[in-house]
Amino acid sequence: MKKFMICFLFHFKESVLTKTALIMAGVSFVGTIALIGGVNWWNSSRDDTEIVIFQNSEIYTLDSSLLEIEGVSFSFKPIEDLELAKEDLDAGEIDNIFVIEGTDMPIITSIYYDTNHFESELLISQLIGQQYLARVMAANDVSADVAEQLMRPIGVVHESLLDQEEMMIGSMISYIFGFALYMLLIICGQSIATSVVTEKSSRVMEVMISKINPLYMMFAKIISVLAVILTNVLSLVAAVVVCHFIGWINLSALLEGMLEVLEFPVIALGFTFVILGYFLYGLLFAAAGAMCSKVEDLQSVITPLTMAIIIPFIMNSFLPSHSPILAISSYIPFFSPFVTFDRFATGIAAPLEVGIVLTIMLVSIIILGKLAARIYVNGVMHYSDSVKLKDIKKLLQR
Amino acid sequence: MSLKVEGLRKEFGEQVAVKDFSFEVKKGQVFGCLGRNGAGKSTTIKMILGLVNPTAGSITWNGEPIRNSGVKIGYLPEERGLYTKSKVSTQLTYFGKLEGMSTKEVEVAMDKWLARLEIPEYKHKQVSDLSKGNQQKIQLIASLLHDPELVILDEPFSGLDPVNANLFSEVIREEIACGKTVILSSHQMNLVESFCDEVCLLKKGESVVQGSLKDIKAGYEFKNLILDASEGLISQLKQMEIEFVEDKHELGIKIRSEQEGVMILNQLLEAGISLPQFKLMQPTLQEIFVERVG
Repeated sequence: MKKFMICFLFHFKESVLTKTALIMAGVSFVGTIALIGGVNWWNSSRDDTEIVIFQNSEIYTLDSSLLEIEGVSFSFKPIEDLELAKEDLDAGEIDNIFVIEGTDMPIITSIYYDTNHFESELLISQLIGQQYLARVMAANDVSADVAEQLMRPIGVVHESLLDQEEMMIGSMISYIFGFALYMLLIICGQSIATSVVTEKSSRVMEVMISKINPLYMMFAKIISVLAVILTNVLSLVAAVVVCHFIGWINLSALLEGMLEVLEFPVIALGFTFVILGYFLYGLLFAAAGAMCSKVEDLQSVITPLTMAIIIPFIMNSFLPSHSPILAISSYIPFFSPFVTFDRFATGIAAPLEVGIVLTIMLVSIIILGKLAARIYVNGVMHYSDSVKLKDIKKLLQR
Repeated sequence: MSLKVEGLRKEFGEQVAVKDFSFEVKKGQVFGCLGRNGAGKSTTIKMILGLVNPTAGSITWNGEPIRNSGVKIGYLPEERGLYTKSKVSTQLTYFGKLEGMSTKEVEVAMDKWLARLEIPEYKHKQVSDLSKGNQQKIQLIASLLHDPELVILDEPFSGLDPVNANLFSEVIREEIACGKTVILSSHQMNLVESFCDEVCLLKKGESVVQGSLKDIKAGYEFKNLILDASEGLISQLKQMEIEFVEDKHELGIKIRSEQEGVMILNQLLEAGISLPQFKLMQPTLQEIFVERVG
């Protein structure tokens, strides 16, 4: 165990204390602070959304006292200034122009640069709509009661077997989790495999194997790569904390908000799947690295592994959580970290399903660990010009 | 204390890399393992180190299987095995700690060895910034840092200039004098000859010549009769149909026995050839190597 720690600390320090890594950590620390500061400055210095209304109708007119939306400033201008207003819109001084016209049927034209201001548009159309309704009622001698009955929508009672709110929040959490896990596995997997093959191609492995159990080396490498990523994450967290003390963000409110949405079982399961998923794929990437003799051979070997990460991520992102495909793939270890978490977060997977999946994953990691270790131990002393499928069989049998 | 290898065999599929190889190296002795590329030297070394599992045979240290014996081994591989992007000190500390040394012990040993190999200024340099020869020095330090009982040197002189090769030779001699058991594999026969008590010539995984260097040379079929070169001598030897090799100012004649040498000398004197000096020499390891393995 002492040798494992020595090996882990060496790889960790060599990755974290390199000039490149320190510069990268510094850049992400300063970058995060700059980003949060920039957003904060933008929000505080940003003026109200400017909406200009041109009333070109004698019948339909808006009462300025009814135009109230937080952060939005409404102003009225004569129709002759429309072209000037368009120039201001083009220059970014105005956000949206509304022109109200029509004698019988009201016409509302919304002029904007690239995106309309939806809230203003809704409010104006509602206010003009009410005026139009009152006009039609008066013209046809329709009483308020009749009008109310005519306008009453035919209601549809929604009765979902799933908690829609939980499902929506769960999907959002699952997508963010899936993306983070996908990035973690891709970056770390590549890093583990490259590290192994570099050690092998430089022949340092031959010196090392006589000093330390190769299994310790493999796990020390896998864990040190994760530790390096966590250190980078810590530098980002430190930047957020600094921003909290500067007063740019309210960290406690942010955490409270997160905890309102994230329940403890979801957090715990997410953490479990990150760890299990990381080891599942980490072992495979280490074995893949051990099979190659040169760094150039690595890409062809790790491409199938990368696909094994991309496919469940895409399935998780695009298929509905209750899809039968996801229900089945939930039990496949390589899909489980993405799929089962999604099904659990959206309230579909029962605790029994999660229990079975976790057991399958644990057993898979143990079996895979033994196979990967065998490939690693035999592969690090196996040199060949190219990597062939039959090499795997050979390495497993040695 | 001794390393004993008995009936060692390694098969890779149908190919036999090492065929029933046996030898013993006692404390303070140097065993030279020679052979052409692919003869099985490195495979034998890797089996001793536990990097490759033997198909058959045993390797023991003081009667115990080497893996369980706890013997400290220093290994200098044929190709450099260093982390090129790491600093020399970081790397040596790592290797030393894996061998059970404390940070302080590593520091003391590292400074001693860097000074001995005349490269103290490279302590905090990155390995990739060092020349090939200096990297080889670091590699040697890594293999001797923890004061191993068994030292395995696979082609230690490759990539070294003559000055550094001499420095390496001195260091190896010092280690031998300290009672280290050494296994040496090299193509530089003159250096091997100067170190080794016992040698073995491997050919296609099989030992073709093995034993003490003295006995091998003494029992060898050919000897060398060395004479000062002169035109008269050359024409006389041609006339006598005796084969010889001309090397600058000397002529070498391969003879089967001392009597044959004396007979040639007598014939030359009778023919009136002046012989200011002659030498009767044992064959060199190089000659034996070329004869048996080449």
